[in-house]
Amino acid sequence: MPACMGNFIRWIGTPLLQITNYLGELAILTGELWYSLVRSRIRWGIVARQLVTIGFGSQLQVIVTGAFTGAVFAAQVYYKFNQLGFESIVGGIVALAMSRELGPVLTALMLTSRVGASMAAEIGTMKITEQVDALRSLGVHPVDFLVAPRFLAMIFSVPLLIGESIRFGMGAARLMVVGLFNVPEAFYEDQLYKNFTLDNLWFGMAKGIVFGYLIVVVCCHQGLNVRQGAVGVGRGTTSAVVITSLGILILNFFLTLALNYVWPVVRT
Amino acid sequence: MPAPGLQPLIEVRGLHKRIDGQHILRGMDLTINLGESLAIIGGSGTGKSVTLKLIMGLMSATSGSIKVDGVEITSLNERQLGPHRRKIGMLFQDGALFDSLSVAENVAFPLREAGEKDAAKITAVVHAALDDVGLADSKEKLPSALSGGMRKRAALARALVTNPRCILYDEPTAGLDPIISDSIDHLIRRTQKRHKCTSVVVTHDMKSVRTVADRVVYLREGVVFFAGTPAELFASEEPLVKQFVEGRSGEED
Repeated sequence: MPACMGNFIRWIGTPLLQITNYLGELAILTGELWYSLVRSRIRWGIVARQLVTIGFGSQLQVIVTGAFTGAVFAAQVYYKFNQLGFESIVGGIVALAMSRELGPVLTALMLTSRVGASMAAEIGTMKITEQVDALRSLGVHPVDFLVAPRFLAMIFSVPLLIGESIRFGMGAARLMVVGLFNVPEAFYEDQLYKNFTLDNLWFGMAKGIVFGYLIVVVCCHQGLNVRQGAVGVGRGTTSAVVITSLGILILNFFLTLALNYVWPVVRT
Repeated sequence: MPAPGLQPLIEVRGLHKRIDGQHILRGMDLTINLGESLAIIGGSGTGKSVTLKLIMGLMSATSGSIKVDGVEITSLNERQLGPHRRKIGMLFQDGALFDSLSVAENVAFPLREAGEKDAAKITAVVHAALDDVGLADSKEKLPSALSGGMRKRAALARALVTNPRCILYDEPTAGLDPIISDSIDHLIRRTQKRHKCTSVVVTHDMKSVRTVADRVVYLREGVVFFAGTPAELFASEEPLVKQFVEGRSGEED
């Protein structure tokens, strides 16, 4: 085989092997997580503490992100649709966008930066200070103690946070469009409620739960695999945020196509 | 073969361990008997701490056999190792206390994880364990508020509460001043006698060896190079053993 062919195969093969290996590790962690949820004791005390950290602690970011995104989105849609005389349908578009895309994606990105980074750093620090080994030496599986409670808290919190983000986004949009641009309230609300359907809400929630799973599994995996001291914790945390954020955006594309078969956009 | 009258608790045979391409253990054989206090000494990077982690199942062996209480542990997975690990306590180099829990909560942790629900019983056992190690007054403190010696005492209390058959100590006196080191050494010896448990102490400290050990093994190049009593170690005329015991680097100014 010519040398350039060997180099090409190596150039293609090395990252492919690394990605396959990484996905394999995530699959093993997922398997351990399910085993833990089904067969091991759930530590509800830790779940409650994580609910406070993930759910209650993320409210400000989620509300601010949702509200300002809703307001800005409504303003941009209004500026264009006003030229065409379609300003009455702005409410419908805001409802559709917030519940199907902006609410779940922005909430997940906020949770990645706030909660995912903290998970990776906390577990990574426990790893390098031998606290994870101490857990194992006491006969406690790290996934049972560190990953499963965070996963449950995330799965409980994400739908509520997405709901909050959508609600504040639509509220801010209404303030902009009805309050500032003087679109008649009746037209705005009519279109808004025609599009703010349960199906659209399920669409957003389903995405949110997948994103929540991704945040916990990727960030805990990075934390549990930290090496090389403080530098390793920094690298692990950065990688956790980058991989999860990119994963959310890529997965969102495929989820949008797939979920549209389950909950299609209805004609209004 | 174990000596007559001695019952082996841990048997290591032909143990190899490679880490990142480095061959750390090269066919190590070691028997640790029930109730004895064994010190493992050796230069940095000779695999002393790795040996403890392999016995605890925290690392997997490249090849070889490790039997603890007659059970071959090298073939067990992480979940199957849980019950085995509960029979052995381990004291990590810096204590490895859970930093979000107070000292008392750290010590109570193994009891709660073992399914103990009686709060009064947990409190009594924790108090007795902390009293044992001289930390009864510090039970509400967080690990960050403790000195190095206190952290090791608290970690020892945590390792003791479930009455393990064996305790593994990973450099228990590293980074401590001579007086605190001496008090930790005596605590290890007292604990071994009071709880009638086996002790395996990894150390660089020759003074510790005199205090804590019934038997010493010296690791060199991944195998047991010397095994004997502390008296035999200090009387050894083997040049490499002598050099290590006397702490001579061979360099001159």
